[in-house]
Amino acid sequence: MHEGVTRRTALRLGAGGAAAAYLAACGGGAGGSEDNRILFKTWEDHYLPEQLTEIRRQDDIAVKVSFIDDNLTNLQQLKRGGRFDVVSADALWVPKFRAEGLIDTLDPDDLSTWKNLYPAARNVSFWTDAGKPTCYPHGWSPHLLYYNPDEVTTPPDSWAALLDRKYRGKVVLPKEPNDILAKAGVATGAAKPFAMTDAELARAKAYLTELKPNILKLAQAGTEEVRAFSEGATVISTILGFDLRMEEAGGPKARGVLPREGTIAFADGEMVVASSPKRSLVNRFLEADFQPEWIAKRFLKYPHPHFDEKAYKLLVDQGHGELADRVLYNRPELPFDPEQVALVAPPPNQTAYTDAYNEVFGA
Amino acid sequence: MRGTEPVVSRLGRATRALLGFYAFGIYLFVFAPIALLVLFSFNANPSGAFPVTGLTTRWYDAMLADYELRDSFWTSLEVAIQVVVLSTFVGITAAFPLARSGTRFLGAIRVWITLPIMLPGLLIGISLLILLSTVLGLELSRRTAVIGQAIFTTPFVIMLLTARLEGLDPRLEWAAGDLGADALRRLMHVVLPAVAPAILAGALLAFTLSFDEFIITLFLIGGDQTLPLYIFNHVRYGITPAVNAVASLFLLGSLSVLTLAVVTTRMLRLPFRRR
Amino acid sequence: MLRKYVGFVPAALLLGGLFGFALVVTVLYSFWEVSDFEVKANWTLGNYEYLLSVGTYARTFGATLAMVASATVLTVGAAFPFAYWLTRHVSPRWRRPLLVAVVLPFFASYLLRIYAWIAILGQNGAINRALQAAGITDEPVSLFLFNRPAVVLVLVYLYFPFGVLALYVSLERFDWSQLNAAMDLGASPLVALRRVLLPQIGPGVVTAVVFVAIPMLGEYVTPLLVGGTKGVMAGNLVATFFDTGEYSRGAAAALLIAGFVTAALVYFRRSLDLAAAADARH
Repeated sequence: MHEGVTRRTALRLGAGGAAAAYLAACGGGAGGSEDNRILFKTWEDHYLPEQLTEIRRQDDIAVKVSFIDDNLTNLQQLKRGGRFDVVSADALWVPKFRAEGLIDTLDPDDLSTWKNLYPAARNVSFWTDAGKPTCYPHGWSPHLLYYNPDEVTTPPDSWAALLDRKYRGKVVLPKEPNDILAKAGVATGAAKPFAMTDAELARAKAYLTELKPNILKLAQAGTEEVRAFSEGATVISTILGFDLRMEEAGGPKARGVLPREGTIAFADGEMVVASSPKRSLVNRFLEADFQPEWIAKRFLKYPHPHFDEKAYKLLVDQGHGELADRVLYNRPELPFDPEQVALVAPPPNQTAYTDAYNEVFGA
Repeated sequence: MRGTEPVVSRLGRATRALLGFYAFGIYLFVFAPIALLVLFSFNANPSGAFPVTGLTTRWYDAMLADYELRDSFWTSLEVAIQVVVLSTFVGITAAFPLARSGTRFLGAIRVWITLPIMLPGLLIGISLLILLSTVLGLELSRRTAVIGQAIFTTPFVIMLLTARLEGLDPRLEWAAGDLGADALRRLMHVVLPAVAPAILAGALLAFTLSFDEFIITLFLIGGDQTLPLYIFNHVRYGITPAVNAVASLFLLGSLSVLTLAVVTTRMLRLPFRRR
Repeated sequence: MLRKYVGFVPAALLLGGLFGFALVVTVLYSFWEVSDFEVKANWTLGNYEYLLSVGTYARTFGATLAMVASATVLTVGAAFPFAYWLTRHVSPRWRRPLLVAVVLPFFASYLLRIYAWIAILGQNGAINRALQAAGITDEPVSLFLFNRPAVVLVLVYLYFPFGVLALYVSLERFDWSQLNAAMDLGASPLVALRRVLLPQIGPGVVTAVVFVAIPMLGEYVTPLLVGGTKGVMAGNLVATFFDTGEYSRGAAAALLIAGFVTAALVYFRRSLDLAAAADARH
């Protein structure tokens, strides 16, 4: 009987403890109230951890970041009912989000930092709907070929050069299925890499099939790209500033080359999700996020051009003008010039693109 | 006679030594990656890999200051507790008929119950996503994650409890019945106390499984984040060894829960069935 | 009369209703079409035809089976000597603790156990550094990461505890003196092994194989992190289809995996009871 009492008591204590823990977890779990939280779905170069801590401290906004795999997946997740407040997207994907009714337009009058943008970024035709902007322009960059000068004697100066046998297992591409197809399209002379015809798509697919044995891996994000050279790659196709990031990471050197056939480019921005109930909070977040000081700091960590002019001036004052000019920061009109680059866009025949990608990479 | 026998032959001794070396190798194989994880959490080299340039606790400080990590931890805890409550309840209620009803469909039911464990978590996550989000139009949140995880953990609890119930000596209940106890009293005073350690073990198992669950949660949690999701994001997108610091603490935490489990089950061990 | 079965109700709702219904919807999706990212209820076998006709997918499914087979053989093969050592050469007092010790790393996060291998397998990783330090190689060898062997190796690492547990339970119950008895009765050691040991531990080995191979079939994260472009498994295929909005094809691919798993489960259903008993003892 003595044992029985002990057992019963233990059971009761256990049940009580579990209930208490449950209530405590529920209370403390959400981090207090829900209404000062911003759910931000974006790429890693759109924020800095210390910036988020600062925003939380100063503006009392708790930002929770989720990462984007690629534009198409992003769209799918939002359509499926993913609950986010601010979402980033590339170039011509923004009008697609708008067309699907997933985002609201911005009101520049409510955003004190809007005037800091370059004029070229403020009046982008496909980023405007009924006179209002559909996204807050963030940054842009073409995709270059970066190679390890210690390992590669003859720099690869074209997409075609990557097919060479000496690059077996040494090439890394970012894992964006549409981008990969588009690059292959550029390599095979497609007129519009993001709107290829069936014939052009077939040629792009053939290029990729030939390239595949040379590919070490498809890098999901910036970190995997930076690790690439240490993992055996010698060539990577990625955005401006990679050489500086490699320098900072203490890894092998990297040198950038613009491929002869041309290349693609992204230009991204932050969009406000239509179903988000926290509009004023979102505006405050955007203002905090796009403070020139923060943009300058983000630039120094991810040195590709941004669309903020005031941040450029700040960088020049800080002595980074030469760096900024080197990466074409003060040429914000470039990505919007179709003669220069193929800007990221949702393909009209998306299924064909996806099928082509899947059929080459098996997954 | 079972167990070890004095091995006298030369071949026997050689085999024993060889196997001993092999076992040592296995322990090395099993622990080395974990040891490296913990080592790198103190590594001053910010790439989180070789070479080890120095020792520092910087990453632990960074990790503790990260409010996203704290949020993920609390979310994981909250989800895990709800999953435990749900799984244990469903597990207990289902274990009784499974162990005692003697229905003909037992075999089929057994297979169905192990299905959520054996089917790829990917499939469970995706089909539930389709059902809850597309068909039923629910919003993805911690609640949907709890449902998904519970589907995965409940079979474990059911199997554990059923096995324990089946191993219960029926004579004790008969004795209680002979002494005048009705079904409810038999249940409360004979069966449940006997099964209590298994229930506790099941609850702890469900908790551990839920806390570490990744793939189902990935699909069903929407904008929230549990600790495994936080780790996943930082493994792919984060560059500092703060992830390793998280790993060390995660390991420490799991070990503590495990020790707790062993200690409490030992305390509550009952002499109903001598091994 | 029916009160006996009332306990099944919550389980029926959760595992039958929700889960079962989810599976049914997935099955339906696999026979329907997707146009413009919306699923339309047009019945078709096209998804399955597509999956089975394109060479790449067939190779992926085949590669998945091959990788799972190798990983299973290696896992059970590596676990067996260890379990044997534990039951034969370790005193009963130390068996449980040593068993727990080898299973302990299982309680570190699943993701991190995979991640840890990247630091070991990469060009700058522990293996290459050890090889170079020992003077065996001059330059880093890139054999070890982002390919099928890497996936197989990590899978073995992840599922080793399952193999050990299942084999241990079976070996511990075996009475080794039977072998001596058999040999006393005139059997050669080999015959004794074949006719006394094997039949009794056979079910244990089958359980080990079941609990190792079947979950491996649906693996997604391991090939994602360490497989590169060469070590792609069926799980990645499902995920990619799903992410790119090809719900029907994703459902069909997922069901191909699930069908295989279910068939294996039904065939090996008796092994599941054994595992339940083992769980209780643990």
